[in-house]
Amino acid sequence: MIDTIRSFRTAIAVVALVLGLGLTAAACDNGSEGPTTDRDAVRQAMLADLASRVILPTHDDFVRDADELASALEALASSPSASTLEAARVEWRTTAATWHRLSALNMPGVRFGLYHNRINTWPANVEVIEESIATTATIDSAYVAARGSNARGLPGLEYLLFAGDDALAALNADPQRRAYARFVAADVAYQGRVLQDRWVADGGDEIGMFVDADTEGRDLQSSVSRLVNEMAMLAEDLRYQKVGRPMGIARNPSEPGGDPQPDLVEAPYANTSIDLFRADLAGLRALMTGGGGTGLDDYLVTLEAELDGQPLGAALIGQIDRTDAAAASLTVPLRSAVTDQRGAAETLYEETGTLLRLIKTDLANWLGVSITFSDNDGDSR
Amino acid sequence: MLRARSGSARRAPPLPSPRPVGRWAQAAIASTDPIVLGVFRIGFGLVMAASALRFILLGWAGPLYADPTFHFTYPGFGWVRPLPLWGLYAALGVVLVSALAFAWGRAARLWLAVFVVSFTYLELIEAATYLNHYYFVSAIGVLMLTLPMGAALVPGRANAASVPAWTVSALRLHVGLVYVFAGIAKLHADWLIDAMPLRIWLPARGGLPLVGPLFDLDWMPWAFAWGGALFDLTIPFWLSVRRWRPWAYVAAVAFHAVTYALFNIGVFPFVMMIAALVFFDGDQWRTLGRRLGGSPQRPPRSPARPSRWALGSAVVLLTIQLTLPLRHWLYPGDRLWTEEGYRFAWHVMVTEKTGTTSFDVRDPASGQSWTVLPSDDLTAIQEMAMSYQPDFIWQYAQHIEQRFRDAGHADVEVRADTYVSLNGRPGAPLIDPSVDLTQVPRSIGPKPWVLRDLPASP
Repeated sequence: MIDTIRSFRTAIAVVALVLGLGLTAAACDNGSEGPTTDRDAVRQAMLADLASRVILPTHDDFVRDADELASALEALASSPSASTLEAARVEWRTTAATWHRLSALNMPGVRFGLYHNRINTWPANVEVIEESIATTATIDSAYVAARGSNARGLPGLEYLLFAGDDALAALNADPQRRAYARFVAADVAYQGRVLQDRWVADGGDEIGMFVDADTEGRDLQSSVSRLVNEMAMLAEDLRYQKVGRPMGIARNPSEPGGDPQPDLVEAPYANTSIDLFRADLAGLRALMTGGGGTGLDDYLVTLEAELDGQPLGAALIGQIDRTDAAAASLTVPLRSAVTDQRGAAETLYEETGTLLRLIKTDLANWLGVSITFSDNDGDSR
Repeated sequence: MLRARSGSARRAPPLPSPRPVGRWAQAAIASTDPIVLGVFRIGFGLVMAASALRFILLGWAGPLYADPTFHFTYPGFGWVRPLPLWGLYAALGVVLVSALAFAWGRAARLWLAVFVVSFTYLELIEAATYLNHYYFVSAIGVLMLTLPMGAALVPGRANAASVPAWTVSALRLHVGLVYVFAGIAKLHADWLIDAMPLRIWLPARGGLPLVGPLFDLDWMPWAFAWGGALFDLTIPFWLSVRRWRPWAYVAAVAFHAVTYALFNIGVFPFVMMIAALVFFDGDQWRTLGRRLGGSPQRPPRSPARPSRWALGSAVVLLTIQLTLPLRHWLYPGDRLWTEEGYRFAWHVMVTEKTGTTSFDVRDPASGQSWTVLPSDDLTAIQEMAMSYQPDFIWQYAQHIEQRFRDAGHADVEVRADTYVSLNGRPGAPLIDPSVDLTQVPRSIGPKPWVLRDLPASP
């Protein structure tokens, strides 16, 4: 009996010690203070490089481009002419392409602020835009800010700059239309600065949270988990929304299945859907390569992640390149290619599908990432 | 049957044993200290109450049960439907209250029945949220319905003099088989030779303070793999030996604490920490009680009165539990890949599996075709679970057929485009893309439309 009592006392002491250590480790989990291993160091270097070489600079680029777009629209509104319209169109194309390099960065902390929605909800609702213009009220920043996301942003501006047989005549004929275009552009620039402020350290510090949330894969705050989820969502969007739907690959039984739907391309008025698609891919590539620094590909090397005998990171970058090449092979805008270059469009659809599978399945598997933003009660299935 | 050599059991009056089988009969009706059941009841009730409270506070009833417009179901339970959200929270409230009432001990069987029904109802609503520990709770809850769980440690009521020894043994066997089958599941090349999926999971924990660098050592996944398998396979036996029991329990707590710290496995570690307490015998609990200042009653001395229906029911339930996990041997191929015989078999933490699945729909009458994305009407958790589990893929294909029928397409063909990765293997198709899933029946037998060739391990 004495032995039993001693065993109990010792056992309880050890249990307390183990629980204490376990809980300490768990409690310290959110307070990582520095790299503890080579692999850990690479992961943290990757997050730091993604922040400093990709995320922040691209947002800076967007703010710069959006400001120039707003200036071009001011010039167009005050003095509409073929040259000011063309200048505005050039700035729109540049700004839209820059924006699409940010597509995979609509992470939860940002998404809940709806910043991306206010800048790029597509397709634009042209009826609402026309109703918004046909007003006797003064059109200014406040008026535009009160419109829905699908009546402003880059797609709304695209409609105003590119739609119709003679966009310049329409702008010339209606000062309200010019004012609306001008303030939509100003709103895009403003929303860009708001988004940038959300990321920077002395603003919302989303970037600090991104770098510090280094628990990777175990919980939903992990930066790597968030990143891979966003990449998967973008790849799915690229395949089904941006290429598939215009090709006639319908998803809903209420839609006709199989008939090409050229009007469903992104940027249908500017005819730049392939350029924007390639900008999306450029954004994905930057995440993989770390913008020339340490990227996801380097971290995958430390995990010895392979696919068919080659490093998984290299396989992914190779697939991004193949998808990009398939997009570049279209010699006409996508809205025409879905009928006139059907074979090339189908190749693009298949390459995008392969990219989606690699991200959503192989990459997620090696990183132990759940493709979900919902919490659950464990993984002991 | 695992049966601890408790002191109280040894005190039971001997029975005549003219034939060898008499020893089993004697063991069945031998008496033991009911305090073991009392402790287990209190621990189980409190942990389940805490789990229900956590579920309520985290607001999971909506996203897991109420929000989905389609639910994956278990064979034979397709009729189970979710209540409105308020009803789901009421059901969770019933789980919480009945768990607490069960722990209290008055009308224990009644409250346990309420708990089992309400808890199991919630689990049956959505098969995509299947977790081993949820199943364990329901299964051992049903077993406890046959046992005198209110025989001891009920406030205001004297402990029963004794309970049949088999009642405690039945609980120990059930807890023990969870460990042993979890260990058997780890006797797989992925786990033992490739240290998968630990090679994926452990490096991810390299950032932990103090212990993080250990998880980054190249050999550590193999140490965890072999150590984990050895632990699961042997811990019930160490817990069954009185001399080793305290140390074995320390090891069990340490093991579960580590898994809690490292992996996203919810309340499972705490459920098992409590469950493993069942291996302690009455003398040990009474000794502990005295050390804590209590005045436990004397150990029981009277023989227990066996209940044939209870014993028979327990034997049936335990027989099911002993055979169900083995059924995967009846299916061709690797169950980690095909998922046939995977559930209800304690395959705990042995797979890292991801998938990308879409569905090609064709209406032969009109020639129209569609590609259906599960993300359009499944929740993220449902989509993830469906993407690599063939029976869920089949269920969703039937749902798609119904959706199209409702939209006026009388008879569509539905084929699955799957790409699945298991434990670091390159992704590969899991379902034969040429098979129209609307033309194959639901079956628990081997599914001929599952592609069984497992890709080479990394």
